[in-house]
Amino acid sequence: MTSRSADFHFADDEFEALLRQARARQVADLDAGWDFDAGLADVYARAGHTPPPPTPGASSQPSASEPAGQQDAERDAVEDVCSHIEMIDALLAAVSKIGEGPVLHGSYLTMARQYLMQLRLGLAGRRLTAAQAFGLLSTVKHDLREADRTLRLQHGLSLEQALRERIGELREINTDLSQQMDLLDDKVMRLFNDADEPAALTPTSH
Amino acid sequence: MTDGRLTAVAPLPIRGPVFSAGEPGLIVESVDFADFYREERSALVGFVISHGASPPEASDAVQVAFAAVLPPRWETIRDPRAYLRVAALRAYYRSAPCAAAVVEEVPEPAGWSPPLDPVEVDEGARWVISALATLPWKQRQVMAWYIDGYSYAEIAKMLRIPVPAVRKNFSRARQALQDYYFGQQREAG
Repeated sequence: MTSRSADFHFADDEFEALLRQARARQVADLDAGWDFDAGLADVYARAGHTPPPPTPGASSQPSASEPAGQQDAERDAVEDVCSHIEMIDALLAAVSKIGEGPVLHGSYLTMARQYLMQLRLGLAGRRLTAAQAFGLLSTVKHDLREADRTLRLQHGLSLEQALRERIGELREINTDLSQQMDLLDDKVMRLFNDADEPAALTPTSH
Repeated sequence: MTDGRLTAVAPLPIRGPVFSAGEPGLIVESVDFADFYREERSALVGFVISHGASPPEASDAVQVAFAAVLPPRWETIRDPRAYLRVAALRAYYRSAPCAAAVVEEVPEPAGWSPPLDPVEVDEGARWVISALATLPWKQRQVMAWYIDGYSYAEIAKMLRIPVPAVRKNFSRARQALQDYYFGQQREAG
């Protein structure tokens, strides 16, 4: 923090421009990293509503000839995966608060959570191919490995140890993120019948 | 932005209000929900981030807020920009109740000087967003609404504080950002 200076100041229009430029950059960054179709599908799914018709080029809705029981099973499977993702996200949120000020492991955890969110939205909105889903999972795992490495360097703790310290009272939760991610891998794999086809699954009602 | 001057920007990149200034509560123009989502979602996420949320937390809170106003309820929302900002903040606080409790209960000490973190000044002005998150709570609130295009009077109404308090907090926040910016410029030579 620098001392205040009467010699330097923003003109009113300069300050307005600075704020607008900052927000415009932020919005552009956020726009670039967001799948709006999947996001809209997630909004409808959270409210338990039928999502709007897909935009041209988007993945198809479940086949009309698909048996209702199969659709229910698929919806349950997606809900299960989404719940699992949310549980992992909650664990990462807890451990990301370790340390004071900017911490490198926190950046990796933030990125991991963003990719998890993309995965959740993509699966809920049936916008991901298997390759895309597993690509996101792979990226999350990479970020978690880097977070673990930096945590060990900065705090002498593994990611799992840090988690146990943060949520030690919740013994029933398995804080081994490697196991949790492997389990998520298995669940996502079961969602896809054909490896390179968009997931033909009904959006969930989260 | 290394010569101490700000980069020229296109006029008003902030998303403009969907509803023009009219009587409070007057529906001036209807807007499609999906179009509004595409237009405003990122600005809403940025707004919640300005209040201290991480990007994933802010994104989730905005999704929750949008889910709560789906049609047909959407048609009854008279000022969706403001309504969704408040709703998204509430969703964030519900998911992070500790943060809400702390910022509401700790008073800002007189003469307090904001400890801005040493974020690097960059050409894209991204440093402003990082610096905003380090301001005292009221200053951060005021700036978050201001940067989204709200007037002092509108901010006062939203935050339920007098207009002079809005002006005071805005002035202090601006001073803090200004001190930081020109300090970085001096250090850069």
